[in-house]
Amino acid sequence: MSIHHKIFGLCCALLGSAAVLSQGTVRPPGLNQGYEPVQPIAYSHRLHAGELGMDCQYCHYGARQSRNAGVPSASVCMNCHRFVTSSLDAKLEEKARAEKEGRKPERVFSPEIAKLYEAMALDPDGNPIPGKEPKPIEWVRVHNLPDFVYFDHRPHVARNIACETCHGPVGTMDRIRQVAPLTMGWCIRCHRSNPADPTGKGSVTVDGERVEDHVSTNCVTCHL
Amino acid sequence: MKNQTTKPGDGAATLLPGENLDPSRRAFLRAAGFGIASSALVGCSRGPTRSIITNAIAPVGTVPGRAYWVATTCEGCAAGCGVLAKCRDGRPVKLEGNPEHGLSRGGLCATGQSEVLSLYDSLRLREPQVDGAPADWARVDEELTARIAEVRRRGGRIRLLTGTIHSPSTLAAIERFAAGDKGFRHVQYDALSVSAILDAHERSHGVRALPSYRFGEADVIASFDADFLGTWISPVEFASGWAVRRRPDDEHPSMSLHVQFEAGMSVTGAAADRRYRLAPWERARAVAALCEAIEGLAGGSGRIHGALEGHRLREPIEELAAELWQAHGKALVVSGSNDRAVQGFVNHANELLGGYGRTLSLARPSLQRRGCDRDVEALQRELANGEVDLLIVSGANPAYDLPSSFAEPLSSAATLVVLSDGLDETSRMAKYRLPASHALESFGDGEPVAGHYSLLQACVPNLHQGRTLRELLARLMGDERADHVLVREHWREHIHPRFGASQEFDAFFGAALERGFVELAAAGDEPRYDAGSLPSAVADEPPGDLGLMLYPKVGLLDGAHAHNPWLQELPDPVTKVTWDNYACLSEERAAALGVSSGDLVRLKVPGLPEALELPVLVQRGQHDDVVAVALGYGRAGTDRFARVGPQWFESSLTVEDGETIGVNLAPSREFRNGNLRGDHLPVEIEVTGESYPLAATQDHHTLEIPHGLAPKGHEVRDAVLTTSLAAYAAGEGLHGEEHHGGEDVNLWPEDHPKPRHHWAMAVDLAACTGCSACVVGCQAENNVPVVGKDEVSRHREMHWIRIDRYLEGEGDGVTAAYQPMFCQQCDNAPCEAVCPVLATVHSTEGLNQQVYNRCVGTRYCANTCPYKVRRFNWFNYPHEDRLQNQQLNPDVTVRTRGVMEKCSFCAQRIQEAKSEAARLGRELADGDILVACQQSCPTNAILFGDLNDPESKVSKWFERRRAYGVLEELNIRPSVRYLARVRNVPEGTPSHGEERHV
Repeated sequence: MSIHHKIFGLCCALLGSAAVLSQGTVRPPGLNQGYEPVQPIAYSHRLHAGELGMDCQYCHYGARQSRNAGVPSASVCMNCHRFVTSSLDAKLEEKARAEKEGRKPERVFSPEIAKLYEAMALDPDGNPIPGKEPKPIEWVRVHNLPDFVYFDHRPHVARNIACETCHGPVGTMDRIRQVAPLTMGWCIRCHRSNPADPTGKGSVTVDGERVEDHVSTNCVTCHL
Repeated sequence: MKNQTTKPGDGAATLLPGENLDPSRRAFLRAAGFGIASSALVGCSRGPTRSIITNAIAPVGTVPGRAYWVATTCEGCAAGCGVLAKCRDGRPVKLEGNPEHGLSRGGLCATGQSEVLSLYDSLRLREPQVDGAPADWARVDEELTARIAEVRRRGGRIRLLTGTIHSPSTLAAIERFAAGDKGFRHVQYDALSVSAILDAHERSHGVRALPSYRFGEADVIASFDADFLGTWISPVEFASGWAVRRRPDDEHPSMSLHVQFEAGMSVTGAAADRRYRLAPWERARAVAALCEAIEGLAGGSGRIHGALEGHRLREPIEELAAELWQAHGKALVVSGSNDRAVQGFVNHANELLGGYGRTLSLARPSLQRRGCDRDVEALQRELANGEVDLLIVSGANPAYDLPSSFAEPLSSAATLVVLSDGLDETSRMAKYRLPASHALESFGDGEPVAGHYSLLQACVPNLHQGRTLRELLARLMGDERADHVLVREHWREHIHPRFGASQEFDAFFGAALERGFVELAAAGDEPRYDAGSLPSAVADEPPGDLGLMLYPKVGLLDGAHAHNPWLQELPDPVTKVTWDNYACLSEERAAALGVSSGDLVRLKVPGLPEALELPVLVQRGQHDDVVAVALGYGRAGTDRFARVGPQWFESSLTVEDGETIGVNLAPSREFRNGNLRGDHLPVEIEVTGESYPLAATQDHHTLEIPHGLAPKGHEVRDAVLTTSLAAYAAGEGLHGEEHHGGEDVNLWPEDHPKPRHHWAMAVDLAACTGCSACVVGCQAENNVPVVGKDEVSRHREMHWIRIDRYLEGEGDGVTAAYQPMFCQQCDNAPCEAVCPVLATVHSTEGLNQQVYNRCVGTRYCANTCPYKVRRFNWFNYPHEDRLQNQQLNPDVTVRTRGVMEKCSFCAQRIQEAKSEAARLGRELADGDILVACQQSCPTNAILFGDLNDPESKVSKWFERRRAYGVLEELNIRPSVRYLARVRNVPEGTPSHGEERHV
């Protein structure tokens, strides 16, 4: 690298630092690390994945069979929330109140689950409201890769890579947040440091020399 | 310059100020890029918020982002090929042949491949129209029901005019509709009529039927103008059968013999071992002479006299007769003529050769063409007399493709009802214009060959308000059942019983739906031949000094698909011209007239009110007395493609507004002896002195070294090698081998280890017919844009596969070799060495990767590529049609302006197969990956696989004696090998492709 290159590079880096200082944070274009938008329903991963210990793939069932893990349809939520409509505390409270007032306890709805019933066009008893169509919930996308990246969940799930490796400690997040940078360098670092064949059987030699056999870093692995 | 080896700490894409600068170019670029980008982006906020909208109710059986396949049947023509429609998130994105299907065996032609784009045509009729004003179905049903009742009450005539229908449930619906109405007639016709074959069999065998042809059973094939590899009846089925016996291998160097007599040049003629020029009016006598010669060999009664004596082609015909006779029981004679005399002799020849029941069968007739020209003629008379009260047209466009004598009185039908996509000429004349469902959005069935039942399944709900004919008729009879119920009930009552009661109906129907078809095993007896049926007249006078022959072209066929831009831009395999039709003239005739390709001539044809202007195309191998013009052009409304390409200050329109793409000559056809003929028309040619640009791709991207620059002895490059069967069987090497094997000195570093896979492809030129199915298949798979005529003429077509055509021979014997040419994924790739930004680099699996995001568009790579297979995006090609964009493959980037692209060996399919293998916890197996071109190929001429696996099929093909690499002498080590073309000619005089003629 010639001295000219060094000077030019340094100038650019200085310019970049100036930009960084004026903004306060480092965020190259496209980097959404730390993104934590408000969602239409305050769904808590901490409660479901953390406290209740539900399997990620119960809802994100696409992860093992498809490129996309997918966000579940409201009908998947209803598998449980047909029965669970509020916290146990709220339910017990209503039960106690009803006993006191000498009536049958009513079904208690948390305001967030009420939104789910609204989206599914269901009345509080879980029956379809005539004349109303179920309407999809418009979630805000958090983990977003550029259009020229064709990430595939399947091989990652097949190798039993924990979801948290890329998505962070989801079980502790009330609102989902992008923890990893999801940049190409970040992807490649992991690909380079892991063997292509996790069983170790498949190490390859060419002309007697052992050649690199880490997970593929070929361009067409992700850019199609 | 190679893909740089990795260095520790080189992975992070984010560079913090102060990090130690690695003295590599990559680190420098990164630092510079980061600095510039961040300074440019000061003040920018996060990108736009994106939402994820899922179905409210999760769909059963599908997973978002995962493709699923629906078995259905192609309705691009009446051949009824089996199709697997690849669907993503509820919509079809790609059609592939169904490999289990007994007729098409996994292939799908260009027309079939393009059907998926037609589905998303945003100009399709969306709702019914009455007198040109939008209406709803309720009103249409009410008015039509009343009209039908009124006509029937007074004994009026209702006519249903359709193309060939072999759908059992639709035919049953028509039968129900007709029940009790003595005045009703259902007339079927084919724009590409073979009615004469059916008529001739009615006379000779007592059944009006089209035999099913088994080209795979024939040792000797004689074809008189039947383009069975390109356009005739069921080209995919025939090509797949033909190819079985056309690819000798090292252990069994044998193949069938194929002799073609034809007036124009077709892909079938190009693939033949021997080819003779024969004008349409010479066919009857030539086939009669062949029969006479065979009779002579058979030593029979000798019913034909005088046809052979003094015949221009006496010697070749006698030679062919001897070969056919020797292959008794394994010989097949076919003709594409719609002349009953010709077909009578063809039947006689096949009977003499013992073909019935072996190479062709009437016991299991084909239903792929059922049109009856006499019925159409009768309907024409009725229309002319004003005797038709109600005419319903479905799946046909008579105003466009029947003689003008039919189209003119069409409007006189008291009530004209047309069920169509609304883009056709006939529906424009109709009082009731009704939207038809596309095959991919409807249920249905078919019976292309007797006993072979296939099913259609909707891949997507009706995009508009379309109906099938079956549904329309049911509604008019007051039957409110859903269309799929109609199909299912028909199968329950009529089809299921034929398969015995061993299986419950639900299980039977479910299995049929999943597979796409069911087949009956048993067939009846062949009907007996009546020797007294032989036609007497053999003389057919030429129409004049020059005769006009109208022929169908690969892809566009009868013009039903003229609104499909993929097919319009597909270079014709023979002439390589896009976006136009033209008058083909032989070299001699063109010289006599003093015209050359691109000169405008005026054609005067009696059947047409005014002379038509067409550009000339000089075609070697064309008969001197025949002007050939393609059908399927001049469709109304095709000026929609005027601005199909990019619009910039120098561009010109693909077609002028208000005009049509090409010229329609179909109305000049005539009914001659009860058959629709378009090959025996008198014509006068007048030279205008003007010229017209034709966008032909033949001289684009040539492998030839420019004249005067070639080193001595290397003026002609042996891209296509052809050997004779005799030489091949004798174990001789390939011609031109001395040029190859230039590996003595290797200037390339051996730095591309391929530890796991080495992807490679092999193409068998003996089986390649040039049919171009792969070109359209690739276009659909890889989001290849349409660029319009002006861009094509600037050498900027974007197809990733180019089918190179090499003409061979002179005069009568002209044939052609076809070579699909795409990125050869060279191990020592010249393109990689010249890219300044590492946008094209080698993968560890032998792929030459093109990284669109790195590409800055220097085009050095395209210039240095010796195969000329790289394509540059000069523009952002139009993707504004949001409905049409539904077809785009979601697994492949839509490229933007300024980047280079090329064949990627369907990298997305390789990745998909790997991911699936990982999911299922198994290793990739040979055959797991089918690339798009390979999948569509009707003759299985393309093979993809892993060279690192010595047992893979592609490794075996690479080892065959016929295998060679194109331009191997450059030592760039292509990962594609071609298997030399073999011609079944006795003498070992191998030839190679000659200079490329337009």
